[in-house]
Amino acid sequence: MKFSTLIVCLCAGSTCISQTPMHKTRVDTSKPKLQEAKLFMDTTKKASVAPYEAKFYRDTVPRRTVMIINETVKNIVETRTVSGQIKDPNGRPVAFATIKIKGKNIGRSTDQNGNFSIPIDKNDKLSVSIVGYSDIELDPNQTNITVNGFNIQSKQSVFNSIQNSTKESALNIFPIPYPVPSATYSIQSNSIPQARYFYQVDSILRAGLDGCRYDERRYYYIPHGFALVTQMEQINKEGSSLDPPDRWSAKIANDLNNPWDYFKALFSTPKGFYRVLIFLYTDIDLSSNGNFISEEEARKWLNNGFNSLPNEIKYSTATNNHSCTLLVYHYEKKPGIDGEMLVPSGLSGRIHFLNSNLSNYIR
Amino acid sequence: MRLTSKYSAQKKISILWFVASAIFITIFLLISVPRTETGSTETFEWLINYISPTLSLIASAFVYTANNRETLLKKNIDIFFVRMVIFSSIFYLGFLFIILLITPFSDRADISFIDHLKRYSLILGFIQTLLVILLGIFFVKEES
Repeated sequence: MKFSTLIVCLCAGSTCISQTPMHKTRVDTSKPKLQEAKLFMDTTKKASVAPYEAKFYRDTVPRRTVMIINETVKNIVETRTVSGQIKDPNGRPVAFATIKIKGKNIGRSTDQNGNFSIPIDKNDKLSVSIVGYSDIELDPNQTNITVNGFNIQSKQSVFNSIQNSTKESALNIFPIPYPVPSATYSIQSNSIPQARYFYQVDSILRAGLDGCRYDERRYYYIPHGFALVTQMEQINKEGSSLDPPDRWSAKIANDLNNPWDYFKALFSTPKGFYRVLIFLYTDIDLSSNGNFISEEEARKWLNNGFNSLPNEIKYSTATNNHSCTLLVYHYEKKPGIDGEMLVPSGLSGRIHFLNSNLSNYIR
Repeated sequence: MRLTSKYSAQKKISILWFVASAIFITIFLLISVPRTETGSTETFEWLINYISPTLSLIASAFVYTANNRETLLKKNIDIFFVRMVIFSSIFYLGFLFIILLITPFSDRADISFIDHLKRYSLILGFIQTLLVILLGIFFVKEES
């Protein structure tokens, strides 16, 4: 990761009011705006692991103060991984010990053989937690340490190739360009273009999702914005959500309430239709990467990500170029077999949007 | 010991097997074809495994019966043994039918059709072995 430029332009006036929506703070522009600069650096730092140029603009006070952070990030040329093995005082491998990167919410567990592997950044420090014992600090450069009788042998590997997948999943970044969707829809809303901050867009989307009972959702970073992923739901052929519990069940809804239902079910193949909705809010031009994503992988989107819009980007400013795009990943499933992605969906992105009832809330 | 004509007993058993097998295969095809992936032969392998050994035994006995009608008419067999074979056949065929007819419930439990069939392979194999032994004894056994 490399920061090539950092330009802070403070224009007009000796003082200004920083209009963050939740916190109105008076900031003296005669001093460097360290707090806000730090905020932006953190924001861009997350995005910088992907091979794209990230630019963040923030207009804190219109016509008075403009703060621009321009960060150009080159391709990732280096990926570090620490792998090793943990053994107890008797020389037996320690399973399910936790290796965490200090100061980050990233961790891995050892397997049955005590082996572990964790992607790190250059200056990361590791800590090893073993149940019943105090944490052991592990310097990635150390190859063999023994603490409290526990022996840790580790090796740091540096790859000079781009390995986005591990990093992206670890850092909760949604893949952009995105995997081939079944359908897309550019959401035409009156309220989204009026939003000045990301959190306002999030509020609009969240209101829609709450209204349609999408209780489980995850947020991911994307360049200049965020992605909001819904839980995979079961739908009917027309794209309307089924009623719970079938809606959230991985099992195909198959009612056998009367003899006729049973007779039909006997001589026909039950099929279930599933979908994941992803809202991408960004100002960059979006395209797909040509790869298809399996039902299992699509379900895993809900295992990662953030439960709410990360604070680091919550107060980022929306530009006029920001727009919201809906990606639909639509699957058809038969009993006992993984779902097959429907490309194209058979229903347009707009129909998915309408029949999911989201259009009633996101107007 | 009550005796019955071996010819008529063999005829009854043959009719039972041919009729039941025809119905079973028809229903099996109707149920399995929509549930079978193109090119997959697993479900038909299952069908052949659990129908054809007994059916081919019955068919060869049927051919023998048709060619040796006069001889078989003179032979008798213990009626208890005939009933045992008939009821065993009905039990086995009934079990096969039940496996097919509960398919929608397996669908509900997210179990694929072939996995549903294979769940009963062990017990079916056991019953089939007993049935084939009984049928073999039946075709050999005769009272003067």
